[in-house]
Amino acid sequence: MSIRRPLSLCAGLLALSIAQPADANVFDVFGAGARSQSMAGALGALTEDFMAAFHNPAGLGGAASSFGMSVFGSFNRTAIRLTPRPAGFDPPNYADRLNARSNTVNPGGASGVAVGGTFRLLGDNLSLGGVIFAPFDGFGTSSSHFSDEREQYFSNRLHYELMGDRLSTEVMAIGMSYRLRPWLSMGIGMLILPGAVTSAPVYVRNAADLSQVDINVAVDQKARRALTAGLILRPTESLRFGVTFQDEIWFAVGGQALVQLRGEEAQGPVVQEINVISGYSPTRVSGSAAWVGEAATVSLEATFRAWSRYIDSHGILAGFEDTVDVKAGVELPMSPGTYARAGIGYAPSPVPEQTGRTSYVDNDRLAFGFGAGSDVEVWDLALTIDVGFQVQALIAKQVVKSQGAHPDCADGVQRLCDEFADLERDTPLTQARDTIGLQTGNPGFPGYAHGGYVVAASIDVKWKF
Amino acid sequence: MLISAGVAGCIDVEAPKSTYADQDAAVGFDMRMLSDGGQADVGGALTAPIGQWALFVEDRKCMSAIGAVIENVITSWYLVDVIEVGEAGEGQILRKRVRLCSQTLSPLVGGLRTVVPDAVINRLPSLDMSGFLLGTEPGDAYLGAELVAYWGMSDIGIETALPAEGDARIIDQDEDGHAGVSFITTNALGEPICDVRVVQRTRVRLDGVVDGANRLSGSVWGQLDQTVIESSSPLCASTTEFARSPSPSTFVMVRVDGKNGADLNADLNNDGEIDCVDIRAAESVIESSGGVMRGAPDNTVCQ
Repeated sequence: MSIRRPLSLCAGLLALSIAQPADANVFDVFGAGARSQSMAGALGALTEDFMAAFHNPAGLGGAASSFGMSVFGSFNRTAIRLTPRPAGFDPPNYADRLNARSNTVNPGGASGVAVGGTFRLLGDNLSLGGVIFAPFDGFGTSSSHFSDEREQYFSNRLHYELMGDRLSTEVMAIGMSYRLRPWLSMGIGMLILPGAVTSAPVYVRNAADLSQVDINVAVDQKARRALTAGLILRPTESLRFGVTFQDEIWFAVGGQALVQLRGEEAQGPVVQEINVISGYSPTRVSGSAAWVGEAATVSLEATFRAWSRYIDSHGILAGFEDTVDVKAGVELPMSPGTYARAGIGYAPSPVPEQTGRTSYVDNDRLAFGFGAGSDVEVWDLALTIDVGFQVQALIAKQVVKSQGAHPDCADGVQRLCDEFADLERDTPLTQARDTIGLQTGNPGFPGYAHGGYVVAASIDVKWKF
Repeated sequence: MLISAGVAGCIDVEAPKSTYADQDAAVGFDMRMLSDGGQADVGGALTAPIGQWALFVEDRKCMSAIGAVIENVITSWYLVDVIEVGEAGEGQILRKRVRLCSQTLSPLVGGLRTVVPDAVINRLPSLDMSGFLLGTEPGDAYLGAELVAYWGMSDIGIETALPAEGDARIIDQDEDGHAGVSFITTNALGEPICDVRVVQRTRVRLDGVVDGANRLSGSVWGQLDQTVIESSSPLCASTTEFARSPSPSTFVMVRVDGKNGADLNADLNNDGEIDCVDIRAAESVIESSGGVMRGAPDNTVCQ
């Protein structure tokens, strides 16, 4: 009886999740759950509830059967401020862009609920668990943007590459753990992200009036999975070591639009490929160590993230650098069943200097966490309530686009590029004098600065049964 | 303390100062058409037509482009040398040599535009033809003989069906290594997106009046037949049928050699001759003075 309800709820959320596009990954940024947030995410050797499905699936082996939920909220006080454009660099019709070039200030926060559970099987040695985070803003939040001059035709702004949509998109993690020995648990699991393949035949009855077109849309859902695996060793009663591996994963929308033009049917449809990548989460390997003492529990963790394989929202290898982030957490028993927690972490940005054509925006981050937890009994139910806060400071950074030669924009050009090749003489449409020098509408030209902070908070309620 | 210090260091985000100085060029892209112009000279009798004139022809066509029926305005500037005047009763016969100097076409769908390169224009031959002035006073009629030009082909009659790909009558007139003549299709920014090789026959007849000592104007009958030989993209590949637009096509012919009291001497380089280079340079002068009014296409008239 007690298992059916959470299972059906999970199944419902899973169905909703898979039915819509999604993005990763709020857990990557803040950690999963209030305990993790308050200890800056340093839980790889300590995790032992359903959040272990994300942190380290081996941790499910130490968990009691439980069901719980976590309510999460954050607000975002970050800014990307653009350097004013000098005169004389405008490409043709620059003043007529859909959106004027503008700063990105205080983008919206995120909120949602995570639901999960763990279940012991086979004499307590085998455990299953999983967690789904569902944003309150709705499923399927996803957007793409260009990192170079093409964005002038869309938002004409810059966007945080790794902190934007990732904070308000679904996450689903499931895992299984087996306790081989009392001192050794191993686990395996998956991160799952839904994807979509769309096909959209479009019939254009009058190419001079593109507001009137006939469109059919077919969408196939495709789930994308990433392997997770982990170990937890307990060589002594107090000492724990954890190792976690997670393969890369991202959400993708692919497909094509087939555009037929009336009167041009014999030429066949124009095929427009769709390839949008969102929320790339890199391969990560974490190593953690924890000391569980009577006076305090202390945890240290380092995580290698293979950002060098990062592909941006249009599937372009972005040239990021691999990183190692570090974090430390402490948990202090205040009274029987009640704990105070704190943590600190540092995550270097994988984004190299953006002095050229692209303007990927990301900062080195300092994380400060604090929180508390308490075991309580309500109506004969054994509950654990945890609260956690985390402040992430994005260390301010300035970007100045490089001077020097500016090649004509073409595939593969990485320098800030000239969108209008210099003409030697007038053409029927363009005067040569207008094309001399650099013309660019790149939103990141001639520079920008970015930084700020993000505050997140969670409250978790778990029922152990 | 640590938290507040860390956060405080991140809050103040000020945009850096630009390291780029203002640039003189490209302060504002001037996307106007470069070939146009007109300087009117109204009043007086056309008593001495021998000399050099600029002929502005605005020929309006209805055409199907990418599934849409639109009006396309073909604007041409010719250099007209009136070589000889013969008496014909009350009127005069003008023997003249006509050369196309520039031609622009209005945008098609979505800002796409067909551009006729200079390489094509420069290799079209001059044509000898005649015109008939019924009188020399303002309001007297002027009739021009039909001007027929063959682009990218030879040995074709005025009513003959145009040759198709592989026909020996198709020639590489613009000497670009491809049969026919090559046009370029550009986007709204003037950037080439595809090119197309065609053969075409243009027929133009002028029917106007004398406006003054150095100006004629009136209506145009025009016909354009075109066959696509090959194209770099299917977008440019379809052969287009042109029909006359219900809106009138017009011409203006103004004297540009500064003689007979004409305001404009287009010999801007003072080499004693007026050629197509001078005409192209004079187009903007003529148009900016209001002597020639360029009209925009109106797709509704073609529906």
